[in-house]
Amino acid sequence: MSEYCIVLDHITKKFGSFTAVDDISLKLETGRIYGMVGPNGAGKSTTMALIMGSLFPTSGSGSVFGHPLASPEALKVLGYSPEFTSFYSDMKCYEYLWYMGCLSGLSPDEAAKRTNELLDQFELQDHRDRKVAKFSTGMKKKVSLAQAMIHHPKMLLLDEPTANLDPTSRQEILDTVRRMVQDEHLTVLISSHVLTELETVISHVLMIDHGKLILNAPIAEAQEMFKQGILWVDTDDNEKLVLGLAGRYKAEIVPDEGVRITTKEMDRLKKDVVGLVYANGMQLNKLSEEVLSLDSLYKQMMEGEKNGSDTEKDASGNAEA
Amino acid sequence: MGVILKRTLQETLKLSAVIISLAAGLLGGLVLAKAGAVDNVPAFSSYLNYRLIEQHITVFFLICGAMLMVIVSAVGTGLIAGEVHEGTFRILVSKPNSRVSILLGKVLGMLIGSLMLMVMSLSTMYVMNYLCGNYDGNIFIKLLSYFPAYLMYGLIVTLFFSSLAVLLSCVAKKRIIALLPMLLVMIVVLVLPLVVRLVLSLRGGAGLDKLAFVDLNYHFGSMFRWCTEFFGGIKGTSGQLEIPTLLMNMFKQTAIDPDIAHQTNGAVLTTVNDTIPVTVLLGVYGALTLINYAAGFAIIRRKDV
Repeated sequence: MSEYCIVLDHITKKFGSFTAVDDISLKLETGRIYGMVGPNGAGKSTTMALIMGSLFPTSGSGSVFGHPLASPEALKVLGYSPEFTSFYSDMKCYEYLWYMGCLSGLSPDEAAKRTNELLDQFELQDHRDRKVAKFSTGMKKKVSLAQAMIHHPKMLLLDEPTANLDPTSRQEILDTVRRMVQDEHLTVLISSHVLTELETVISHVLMIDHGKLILNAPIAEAQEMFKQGILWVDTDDNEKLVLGLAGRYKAEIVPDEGVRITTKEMDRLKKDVVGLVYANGMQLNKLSEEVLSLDSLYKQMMEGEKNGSDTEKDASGNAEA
Repeated sequence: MGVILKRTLQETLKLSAVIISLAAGLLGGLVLAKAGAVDNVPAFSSYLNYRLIEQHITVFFLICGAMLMVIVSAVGTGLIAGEVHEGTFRILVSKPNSRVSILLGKVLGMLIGSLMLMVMSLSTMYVMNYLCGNYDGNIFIKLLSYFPAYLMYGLIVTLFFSSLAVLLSCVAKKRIIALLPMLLVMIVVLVLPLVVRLVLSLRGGAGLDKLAFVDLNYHFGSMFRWCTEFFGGIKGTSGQLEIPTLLMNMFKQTAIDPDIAHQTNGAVLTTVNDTIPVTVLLGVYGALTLINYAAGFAIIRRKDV
């Protein structure tokens, strides 16, 4: 058995002349929760579909727990919940999950037992005899997650599980995912563009833009990597503080918030700020360090990518000139 | 595969399809009963031939023609394209089954369902014909003896048209996109040659032998004749068989040389010919059926969904 649950080796997917996934290589370790982030059209869903085998790569290869992509052996260990799950219009909730269980290789009795377990787990027992197609979006998402879990997969692929949900339903779905991961010790790859929600769930971040993987790191490491070091300070004379730091740090007054100071040398900044406050007899009201959120990280990365591509464009423009 | 087969079988046997098959059987039975109620009954063999000709035509056009072809085309084109369009196919392929087994389950479910509908329709036709037709028992037993021949022919029709429908369904991403070429095929190769055949016959019969190569009515009529001949065939007079042979070579002429044009009321009606032997037709359609299915399975194995 491979130590990696997913291995993608220089995988590319083109639709005509459009490259949706561009030479992505990655290895995902078992037992972790990976968050795949990126703007709309970045290639997140395509990457998931390639792992699931519903799309075939134009070039490159990959494996799931050592089995080739799209093979029945690979699909046996994967559970997949797409962004927009479509349901058979004639099927009731229980019937649908039972059918999915049978399709996943469970015997009719096993499928019935597992369906009842999941209906309890997802609090859908009261709706078992209602047609899924008529469920609310939040309930459909639950059924979609339940069908992905029906055959006790080792790894879950969740494509935008909280898309188009109200905040309460979003929280409910994420709590369910968290619970499932704890109870069943699953590896999860979850994509979303609601970044603030993802960071409460994931341990690793994969960032994709224009079909390319631009970051693959543990979330703490990623935060550290891009830590700009933001210190919020509020005193009774913020203008004097800004003047005192001028030339050494980038500091700006934010009304009603205090002074926002950025640096890559946080320890030195803290000493300087405290020294300045003490030396000038100022009253210190607030001193707090800002933890870089996934949202900020995402913006930084995307800005970096944009600047990088602008630079490349400029460079090529100059070269042509 | 079994669970997909059962699900497809249920979908094929949905209420609307059952109603269509029963309606076709009821209509066929009533028409036959009414046609059979003649006052001037000729000799037994002649009367039996008339009834058999009417029954063969009813089965050929109404049950194995309109009803079976419509149901097979509608179900077959939706097997994959319908699920792809509705988005359910993505979930289906995410489960640990090979795509070949998914398609095989669907095809078998459709074939079994279609044949069950045909049996239902034929049975209804016989029951209606018997109840409303007031037949002599010997006549009815003879009519009933062709039931296996109709099943055999129905199987040929189902296999060929379902293979075409499945291939189109594997290529298209919407059911309607798959269904339209199917309808086009039916109009172009079933209806159009029929009109051309009538026109050519009335204008002297020249070119009819060449038309045989593209006329699906002629081909399927010949295969229908081949199936019924297993169970005795019909030895009618040229007068009894003019119209069916004019349409599609359904019956073998015995009163005249089959390769000679004959005239009625001064106009050349038809050339009953064996331009293409039935064995060749069976071979060609069998090969086409296999090619269609093989292509469908090959496409679905690598289809992006």
